[in-house]
Amino acid sequence: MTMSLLANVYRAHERKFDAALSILLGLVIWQLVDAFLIHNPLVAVGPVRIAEAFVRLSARGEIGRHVYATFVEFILGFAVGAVVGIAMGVVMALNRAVKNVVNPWVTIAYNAPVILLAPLFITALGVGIASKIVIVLISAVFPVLFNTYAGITTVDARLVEAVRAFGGTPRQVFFKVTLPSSVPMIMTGLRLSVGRAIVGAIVSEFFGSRAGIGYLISAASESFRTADAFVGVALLAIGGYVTFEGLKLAERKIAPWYESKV
Amino acid sequence: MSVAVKSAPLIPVWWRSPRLSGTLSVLAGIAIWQLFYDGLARTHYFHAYAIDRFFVSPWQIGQSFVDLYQSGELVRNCYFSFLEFFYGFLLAIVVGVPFGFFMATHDKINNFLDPWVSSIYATPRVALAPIVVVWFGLGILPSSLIVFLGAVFPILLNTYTGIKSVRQNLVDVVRAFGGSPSQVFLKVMIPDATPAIIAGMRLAVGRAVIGVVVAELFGAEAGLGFMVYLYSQRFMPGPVFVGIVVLVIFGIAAFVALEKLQRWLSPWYAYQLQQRVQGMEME
Repeated sequence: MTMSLLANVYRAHERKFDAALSILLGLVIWQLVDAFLIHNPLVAVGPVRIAEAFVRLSARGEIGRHVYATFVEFILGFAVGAVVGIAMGVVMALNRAVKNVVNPWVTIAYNAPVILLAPLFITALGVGIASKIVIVLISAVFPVLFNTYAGITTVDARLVEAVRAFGGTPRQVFFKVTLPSSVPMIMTGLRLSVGRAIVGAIVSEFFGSRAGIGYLISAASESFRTADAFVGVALLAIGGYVTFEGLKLAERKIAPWYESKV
Repeated sequence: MSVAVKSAPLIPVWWRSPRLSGTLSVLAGIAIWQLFYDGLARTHYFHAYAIDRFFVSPWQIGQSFVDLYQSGELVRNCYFSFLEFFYGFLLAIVVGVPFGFFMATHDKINNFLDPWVSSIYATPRVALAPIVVVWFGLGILPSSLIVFLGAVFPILLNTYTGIKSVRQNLVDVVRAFGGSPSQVFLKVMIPDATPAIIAGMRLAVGRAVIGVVVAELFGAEAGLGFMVYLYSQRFMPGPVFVGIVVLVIFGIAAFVALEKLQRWLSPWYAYQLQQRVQGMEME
């Protein structure tokens, strides 16, 4: 009896059970490889070793210091990048001449690996936080810009006509129709930027820095403390996930009618 | 005697064509950049802030290009970066497409692999670059692996979506006329999913290019990322910009080549594609 009950519960939530089982199995195999197969702590660092490293680093206050540094770089660069991206996207969508002039440069910059400019910015602005903020900004601005542009140019013409027909001024059309209906696209752009912004922060820290998660990873792996480097990677994964899901939640709150595909 | 004057448009028609104004904008931008640099070089800020250590003019970029080309350095570094890109990308296709296919057709496989795929996909892969170098040492292998890690997930996920959204009525028709499972697979599923798979590859190109460059920062004896890093340590910004320009050209070329491939493999899709690409979004 209990067996069939258990089987029913399993079948009802098959996906979740499978996911949990898969994660658990993966971690166990990983740990077993570390414990029995490869005896080189340089190469195989099991989950237990990583957890130990995490506890050790956070006891020394290292985790807090690095997370704080990267967080400040990320949040400042991302905020400025979002404001600039939305503003430029709006201007380009509303004014064709500006769009024609700016578009080629924006396309080039979007497709260029701008993080390679990091060493130049570090030379110009120092190893401190300013150079990283600029790199984060440049990495984050373009997805926001393109999505804002797309959102504003694809506004439902019927809505605009309806407001016009009832005597809406261009200003009202913009603030009551165009902007609200492009909010979901803008949010999608912000979400796409999160990943790029984090990569920008990390890589510019690789090039030269005194603190930050990227610094933690590169310093740890250069002195062959692989477990410490994995702590940094895990922190990044968690941070990226939290920001991504947070923006998804905000999107659902702000624009509940819109179902994102990303 | 009122004559209806047809006022000339404020902006003439030839100027309004985006291609022409785009070209003009790029040329004018480069000219302004050059003039700005020359003007800056005359002021005392130029030496006070050592501006030539991190800023260059387009003319100097051209000179660096010629220098690097003549010394053979550029070709050698391009060759290594291209090899890394090629191996990593090929491996990503060989692994990503079958995995995506089996995840789409077998729910059990999907249930077990999906948590790992999404969590590794969410991790910034460039952060793994230093660790991969510790594991595999210097040379082509670690960079190729980073390229692989960057490129495999867009390809896998797009294959998954492509197979999942194969039109069921097409499958039914082939089955109804007595098509075997292998015929359904080869004649319906693969062709119908091809556009999505290639769209995944196009997404993957950008990530792969970043992967090549970042991996080379840590353990490389050659490659464009290595070249950029080397010259930025010597405070020579010219070669840095040459590296960036070459990578941009390579990225765009790969992008266009994949688009051509898609048109050739699935010409019926070209119309739908054109509709979608007409916006500005490249990614």
